[in-house]
Amino acid sequence: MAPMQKHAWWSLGVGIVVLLALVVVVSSAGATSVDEDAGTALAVWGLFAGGLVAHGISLHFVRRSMDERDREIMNRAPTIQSIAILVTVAIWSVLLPAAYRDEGSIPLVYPSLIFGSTFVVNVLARSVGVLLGYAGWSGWAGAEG
Amino acid sequence: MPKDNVKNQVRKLRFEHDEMTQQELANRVGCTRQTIVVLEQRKYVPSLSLAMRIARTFGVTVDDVFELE
Repeated sequence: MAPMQKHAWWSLGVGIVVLLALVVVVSSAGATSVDEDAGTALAVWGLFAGGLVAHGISLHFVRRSMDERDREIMNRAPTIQSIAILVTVAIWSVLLPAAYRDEGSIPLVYPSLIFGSTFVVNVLARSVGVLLGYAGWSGWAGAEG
Repeated sequence: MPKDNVKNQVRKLRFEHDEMTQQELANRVGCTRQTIVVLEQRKYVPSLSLAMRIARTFGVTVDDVFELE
């Protein structure tokens, strides 16, 4: 397994754990508690920061051993990332108005949660794109390899 | 545009050079062993610079290593 492939599996694992932990914390404490309760806010932003550091350290070490094929595969991953980000934003834009239609306004914490969730999905989708690249997927743009 | 099918003689050339390992070739040309593996399996077409480094390592021309089908 190529070093970049190992990194992608690691990032995928970290991303899934962080995403699941965030869903558990936010759904059990309530979304607005991220804004109102210091403990919940610390847990949520701590998970974001921890996931980001775990991903960044791994990427830092693997960049040294990347070759042209690794870079080519990495350059195709944004196709998956852009689709995943669009789907995430679409889900938020459908669910939020549906959930808060009666109130007529959305709590201020949601822009931060939308950003955070999109960021995590972005990292996850990048890992999926890289792993698909190693599995032989050559992208939809006609790229060779 | 149709995808080019590029044959290569990397496995044969490694054999002729004292059964050079994939890792040794990868170290010499500056890529990972996995890239040599997929190259030999014809699942990857290398860049021109990698092709030239591989040819230079074996002391032959790029045409001797790679051939467009």
